[in-house]
Amino acid sequence: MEFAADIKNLMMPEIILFVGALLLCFIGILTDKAYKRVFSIVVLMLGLSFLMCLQLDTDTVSMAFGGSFLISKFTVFFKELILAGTISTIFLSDKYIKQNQKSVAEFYMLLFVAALGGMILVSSRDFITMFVALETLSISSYILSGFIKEKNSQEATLKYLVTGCVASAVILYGVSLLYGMSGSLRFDVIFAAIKSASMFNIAALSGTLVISGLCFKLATIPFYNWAPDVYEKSPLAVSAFLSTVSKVAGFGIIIRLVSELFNGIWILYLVLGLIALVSMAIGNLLGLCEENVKRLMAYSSIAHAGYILAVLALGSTLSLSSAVFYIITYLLMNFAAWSCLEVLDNGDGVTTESLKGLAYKRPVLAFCMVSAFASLAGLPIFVGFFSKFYLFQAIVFAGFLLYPFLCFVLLNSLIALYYYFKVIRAMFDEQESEQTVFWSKRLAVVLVFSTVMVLLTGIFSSPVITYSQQIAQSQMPAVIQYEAIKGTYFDNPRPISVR
Amino acid sequence: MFDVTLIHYLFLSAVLFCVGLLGVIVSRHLLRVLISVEFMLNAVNINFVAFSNYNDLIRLDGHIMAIFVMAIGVCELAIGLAILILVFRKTHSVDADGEYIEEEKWS
Repeated sequence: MEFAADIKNLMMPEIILFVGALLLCFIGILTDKAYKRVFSIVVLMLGLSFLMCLQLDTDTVSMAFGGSFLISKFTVFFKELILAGTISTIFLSDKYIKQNQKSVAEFYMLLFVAALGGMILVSSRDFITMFVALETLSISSYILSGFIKEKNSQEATLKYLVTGCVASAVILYGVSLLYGMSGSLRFDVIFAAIKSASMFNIAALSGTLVISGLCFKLATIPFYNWAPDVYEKSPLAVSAFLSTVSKVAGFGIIIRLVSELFNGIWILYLVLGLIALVSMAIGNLLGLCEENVKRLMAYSSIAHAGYILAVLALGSTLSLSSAVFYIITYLLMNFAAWSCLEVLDNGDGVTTESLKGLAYKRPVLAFCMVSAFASLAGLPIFVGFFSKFYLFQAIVFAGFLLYPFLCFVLLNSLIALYYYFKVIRAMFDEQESEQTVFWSKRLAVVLVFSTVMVLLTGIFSSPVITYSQQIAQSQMPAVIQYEAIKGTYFDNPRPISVR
Repeated sequence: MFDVTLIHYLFLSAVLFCVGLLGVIVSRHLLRVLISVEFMLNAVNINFVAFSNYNDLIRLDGHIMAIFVMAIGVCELAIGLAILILVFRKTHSVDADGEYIEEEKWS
């Protein structure tokens, strides 16, 4: 009975997505034509799931399935972000669907399953749940990235798959060490074991393995090399999905692990900072001489993930709230940029060459694109400036010992200006090149909405900042709440006994 | 008589994990890369089962996790092989070094 009550009260958003995925699977078997009706079903399902997320009671922390599934303000917020990103991806995929009118239901089904995996991932409180959710997200992303057979995407997909398998093996090795240390796979039990048995070294080692494996989802340092190839070769809507939704899910679980499980292990913060610095440097330097705008977006997303990790490495409430704000704005900016590219993409990708003279021929589209790229670069008025400003503020308040760190991050965002401006400058070039544009209502919806949000959130950023502060504060004292509501499954950790 | 303890299992799994990682990095044949990935996952399984046997005999979390890892590893392998077949149809080779020449459709 408890099981049914848990599902009814706490898991409705996931259940709706699951039912939707099954339904789409059947539709895909029965017919291959009805892509117009499928679209309305898909949007309805996602909207219903979003409403269910909004009506969840988040003032108290509650758990389902014997404590392996956590509902709190933080996890519900990340679920809402994931659902919003998935809805935008579905609007964005309109061009792809209209041009290849086959396997439409399967395409939507895989997006549903990926979103479902991400949603369970951010609210998992148990390593079994975490691993299964992570692989649900990963495996459907592998298939999505190779969805166009004709486009030679196999090389990129294979690279993605092998990197992903290695990353999950690395995560599992870390988890197995944590399991051996504590005798359980639950986050709270492992946390208590780390504290009571003072197993600092082994926790630092296995934490490093787990975090660096999860960096595969963020496309940061140990596992970043799949990103440019996959973003270039896969359908553009899928690239947008991978650079936003899958990254948001990865950030959600990393923030939860760092604040709930590895709380107080300072080596791990050092590792996070190192990953952040190296990946932002690599993303920005490799982006410098890139002509293909899709690959450029991949390098820029590597660098942005680096900025967010850099601020997570500080471990204070202020830094967490600036990270949450950065994630929200990153989602908006990226959707604005990807939808502009989707309008311009003619099948061979968009290069800076092919953008020449866009500002004179199509000023409205060029305006959207300039605002998206200037926002990614972090120029004032646009929302990217405020999120970067808030991020630097968090680093400054962390103490003067971190000023070299701050200088490095500042230097990186200066380097990044170069390649964002290369794109903007090409649009104002005197020479004009031929562009074919594709407009549809659904594409215009996501383009206009994200551009307006980029501008509006830039001007009125304070409510969003206040909201992200609330989210951050609800996550920071999580450990204390944990001690109060320990489930019945809690048993004392046993240290390793070597016979 | 030689006594097998937890340390021996851990050592075995660490060696297997490193062998798998090395295999992923150095092997050029794509099938061999996929086999090396399975090596890594199974090394992790040895770790889980050994820890479960020595530390957690009541709830057996490690055994459960090992079964999950096996099942999901097979899913990944299935997708890997599907992509490998597509690669072979395009290039007539599964060599990671091979030039990526698009040939006529293999029918």
